[in-house]
Order: sequence, then C-alpha cells, then structure tokens
Amino acid sequence: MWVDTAQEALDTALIAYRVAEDKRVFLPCAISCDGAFLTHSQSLVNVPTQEMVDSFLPRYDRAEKQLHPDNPITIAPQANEDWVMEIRKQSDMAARRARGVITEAYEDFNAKFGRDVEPFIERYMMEDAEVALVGMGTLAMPVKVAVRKLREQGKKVGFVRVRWFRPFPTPELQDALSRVKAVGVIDRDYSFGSTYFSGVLSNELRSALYPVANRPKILSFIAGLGGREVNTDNVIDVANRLFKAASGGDIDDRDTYWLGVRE
Amino acid sequence: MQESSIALTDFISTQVLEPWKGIKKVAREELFTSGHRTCQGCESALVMRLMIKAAGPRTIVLGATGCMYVANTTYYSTPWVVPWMHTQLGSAGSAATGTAAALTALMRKGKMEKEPINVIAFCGDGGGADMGLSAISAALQHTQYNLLIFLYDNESYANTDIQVSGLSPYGANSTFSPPGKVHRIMHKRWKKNTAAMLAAGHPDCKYVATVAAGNAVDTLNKVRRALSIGGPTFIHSLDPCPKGWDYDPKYSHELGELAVETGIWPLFEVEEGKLKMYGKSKHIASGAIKRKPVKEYLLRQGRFAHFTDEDIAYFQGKIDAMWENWLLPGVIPFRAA
Ligand SMILES: Cc1ncc(C[n+]2csc(CCOP(=O)(O)OP(=O)(O)O)c2C)c(N)n1
Ligand code: SF4
Ligand SMILES: [Mg+2]
Repeated sequence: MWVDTAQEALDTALIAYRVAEDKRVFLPCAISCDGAFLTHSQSLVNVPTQEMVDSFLPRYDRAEKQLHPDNPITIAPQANEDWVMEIRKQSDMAARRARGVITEAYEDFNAKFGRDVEPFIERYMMEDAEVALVGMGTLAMPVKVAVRKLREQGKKVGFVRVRWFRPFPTPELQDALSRVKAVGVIDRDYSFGSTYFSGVLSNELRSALYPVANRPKILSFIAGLGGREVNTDNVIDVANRLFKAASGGDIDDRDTYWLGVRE
Repeated sequence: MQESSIALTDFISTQVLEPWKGIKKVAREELFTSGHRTCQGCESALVMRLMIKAAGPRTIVLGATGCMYVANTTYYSTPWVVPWMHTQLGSAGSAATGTAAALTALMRKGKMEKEPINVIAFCGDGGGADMGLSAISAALQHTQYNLLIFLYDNESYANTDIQVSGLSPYGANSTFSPPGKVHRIMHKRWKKNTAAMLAAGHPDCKYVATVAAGNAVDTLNKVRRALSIGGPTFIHSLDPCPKGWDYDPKYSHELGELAVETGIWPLFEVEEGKLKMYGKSKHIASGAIKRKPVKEYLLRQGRFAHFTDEDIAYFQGKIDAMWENWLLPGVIPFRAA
C-alpha cells in the first residue's frame, strides 16, 4: 500500500497486520512511505490507545506452527518445481480472498476508530469530474492543491489516489474512472521498456480500464523521481493536457511525458 | 531484579544426558526414520539418525540447505519425528541463536512452560565452514543460550552436484576441480582446520568435538555431552559420501575409519578448555599405534584416482607435519616463534 500522511502510515500499519495475519490471507504486506516528504517531515498524529488497537488487532497466533517438542512438525520442507503450480495457486486464492478481508478490516477500523476511509482508493472531488488525475502516496499533496485551484476556475477535475497497489483495485478504479473523458496518471516510478515506456501505475490502469465501455483517454506522466518535488504548476500542466485530450485535441496517448526534468 | 535472575538460571538449565556405556545401552527409539531419499550408503543420513537419537525427543532441529535438507525433507515427506525447520544455507548459527533466544524469552514471559529443550542446528561443510562461518562464530559467543551447531562434513557442496568447498581435501576431483591433461591438480587449498579453529577462537565455548560415525557410541555420547554441558557448542563430523567421493556405498564406514587411522581426521574434544584425543587418534597421538599411509585411504576413492606418487607424497607430507610439527599434534598448527 502507498500512504499519504503520517496518520495514514500508522493506520495502515494496523490494517496491514490485520490483513497479513488473517488466516484467509497469510501473505506478506508492504507499506510504502515516500522517503523524506513523509518520513522526514513533522506532522501531528493521533496515536490510538493500546486497548483500541487490541480491540482491532487480534494477537499474533501461529500456535499450530510453533516449534516445540509437543508439536513435532516439519516446517519449510523442500518443494521442487513440480509443486510450483499448486503452491502458486494457493497464493492466488489467498490474494483473491484478500479483497474481502481488506474490506472487512476497513469496516471494522472505521467503526472502532471513528473514521470514514474507503478501503482501496481515495476519491477527491470526483462526483462531477470530467477529467481525473491518478497517483499514489504523497503526490496527493500538490495534486489536491492544484485540483482546488482549478475548481475555483470552474474546471471539473478530480483526483483518485490508489491506496492498495496489490490487490489492484480494478473494480473501484473502473467505477471511479469510467465516467471521465481523460485520465492523467502521474507515476513516481519508471518501468524500463514497458508499454509506452510508462511507470507501473499507468500500465496497470490501462489494463484495468481496457474492458470499460466508455474508456477514457489515458495519459501517462513520470514525475518526482528520487524525491524531486512535484509542484502545483506541474499538476496544472497535466490537467490542461487532459482537458485538451478530453475535447478531442491533438495529444498522443501512446507516449509518456516527463515532468520537471532538467535539460 | 533478584527474582528475574533466579528465573534465569531456572530455565537455562540443560537436559542431563548421561553417556551410554556401550551399544546395548543406546536408546531404541528412532527419531529420524523413513521418509528420506539420500543416496545408498550416505553417511550423513546415518549421522542425522545418531545425532537425534542421542539428543532425544525433547529437541528442536534446524537444518541448513544441503543434502540433509533437500534429500531428507522433500515436500510432503519427512523423516523427522521431532520438530524440524529449514534455515537458509549459511544461517545455521543465526537460526540456532534465534530459536534458543526465542525459547528463553517465551519461557521467561510465561508463554511457554519452562523446560530445557535442546536446540540443534546442522549445516554442511559448504553451509557451515564456508558460507555460515561468521554466524556460527557469533552463535558460539552467545554463552547465555544452549545450542549445538552440528556440522556434517561430506567435503563438498554435495547437493548441487559436488563442488569444491573450503573443506574439500587437497586435489580432490569435483565438478569445480576436474583433473585435466595440463592441470592435474585443480584444487590446491588445504582443508580448513574448522573444529580446532572454533575451539581456539571461542574460549568461552564449553564444548567442541570431532566425530566419525563409524564410532557410533562415541558419536552419540559427544552429542549428549555437548547438550548436557550447555551454552553454545560445536560438533564436526566427517561423513564419507559415495556420490562425491566415488566409491562403492558399502565402504562408507570403512573409509571413515581409514580417515582416522591415516591421521587425516583426528578425533578430539575440547571440554572447558581441555583437549582430549580419543579413539584411535588418542593412540596415534601417544605413539601407541602408527598411522596408516594416506595412500590406503586416498586410492580407495575415485576423487583421488588421478593422484600420482608425487601427489600422494605431498599429501602424506602435510599429514606427517600435522602430527610431527604442530604445537598440539593433529589440532593446533602454530607454535611460539
Ligand atoms: C545462499 C544459497 N546459495 C546457494 C544455494 C544452492 N545450494 C543448495 S544446497 C547447496 C550445497 C550446500 O553444500 P553443503 O553445505 O556442503 O551441504 P551438502 O549439500 O554437501 O550436504 C547449494 C550450493 C542455496 N540454496 N543458497
Ligand atoms: S550426495 Fe553424498 S551427502 Fe548427499 S545424499 Fe548422496 S551420499 Fe549423502
Ligand atoms: Mg557438503
């Protein structure tokens, strides 16, 4: 998962343990916090009490796997290539079940901690949006500022922040983005030699939106690598290109645009 | 403060495993049974069986990658009657320390009933004496934990098809050191003196021993001694491997014995700083018996089939020096200048 604020980092850590340790899932979970922007800046965080956390997060219990003479089991035997398909299928089933477990975890989290968080994605000013920006992590800061500025000018732009990269929130993104005319994905990563030389989020999104009836145009952008600042002007630049694409303007959606590169 | 130190001594006690006086006294119970698929004549498999027989059922065994992992615990089958877990090649030392530390912590916190549970981590010569040497060294410094590192030495990276390790003998043919027409001897490094190195290098380690499974009762009793004396301990076993050494599988024991009789594999133990030679090595050291020529051992194995008289003489010279020039014959090579 990618997080946006220090508070979300803390909340997500609790949720991640709950999901990863759930016997229906039992897969490793990784949380990504943008270095420096998030990890090295100060902000106020609401730290829950131990009791609240205990009520949400069951004790770590792998009793059946405990190494103890009363429990003489063999752990991690050697599985050869002949078992790879069966074992992969088990991981696949777990990854599929994860969606339900994540939803359950957020429902319980929202109820116990008094929040109202959508599990897989965050939608920002998306109700009547004509074009949408998509990104992960702390990108939300400059994007939200830019979206507000553009809204003041009457431009109908919204933002979708992807929280969970795996399982990829395909239905949620299809729902959120099938009503807009153009989508601009800002990747803070780069996938060498991938389709249209994009970042990973752009291409995941392209395939997620492929079956959608009113598929929007998808423009792909790379920005903020190595912690380089993504400012509101960069985002406004992206939004303007989206409006151009939405109105049938001449803009190539089979390329990837880099923002803020020194020439 | 006082209370916790009392508790500490309480749960770091060891099992008292008295030596077995003779083969008839040895436990009948098998804790390493069917379910493995090692080569015919695999000495290491027998060593595993002896090791766990000596330790008994209240034991946790951790095994590093290698033949004794891959050929023993294939998915959906296991010969281990005791709890067993795989650990990475090179991490027997850390797995042992971590497991012993976890047991200690769980018992201290009252989450597990207090009981001395043996922790044994085994590794091959590649995983132990090459890749995992630093982790074993660290484990031997953790005197607050009871653990035994058991190195089964088949003198090659056997599981991946016999590559040279730091414990492969000089000149041996392996997939990394095939003799050719231009270079007959491809492996020129002398075998590391592992057990003595660890004993000398970790003065707080209470017990280090070398064993050969041909001496079954001795092997059993060394394991029992190591586990009873407590703290981190180390045992090194020389295991003839028909596949890597290239001989008829029925001669595994015989070759192990020849390794001792030629003086190539000295049997000794270092208990609380005191060195004791035992078995035939004791008589070799005292001069009561003469060492057999190394030729008798080398030429029984295909891996030395390319040896010329000159190579045999070189090998013999190194072994002679080990017994005649070393400060502690067969054990410690250096002396004061
Ligand atoms: C880090 C790592 N490197 C390489 C391997 C491949 N590998 C598996 S078993 C093995 C041989 C290990 O040799 P040794 O420790 O002497 O055990 P043996 O197979 O001889 O019993 C190797 C190299 C591995 N599993 N892990
Ligand atoms: S290769 Fe050697 S150590 Fe490995 S199973 Fe065969 S005989 Fe045993
Ligand atoms: Mg080996």
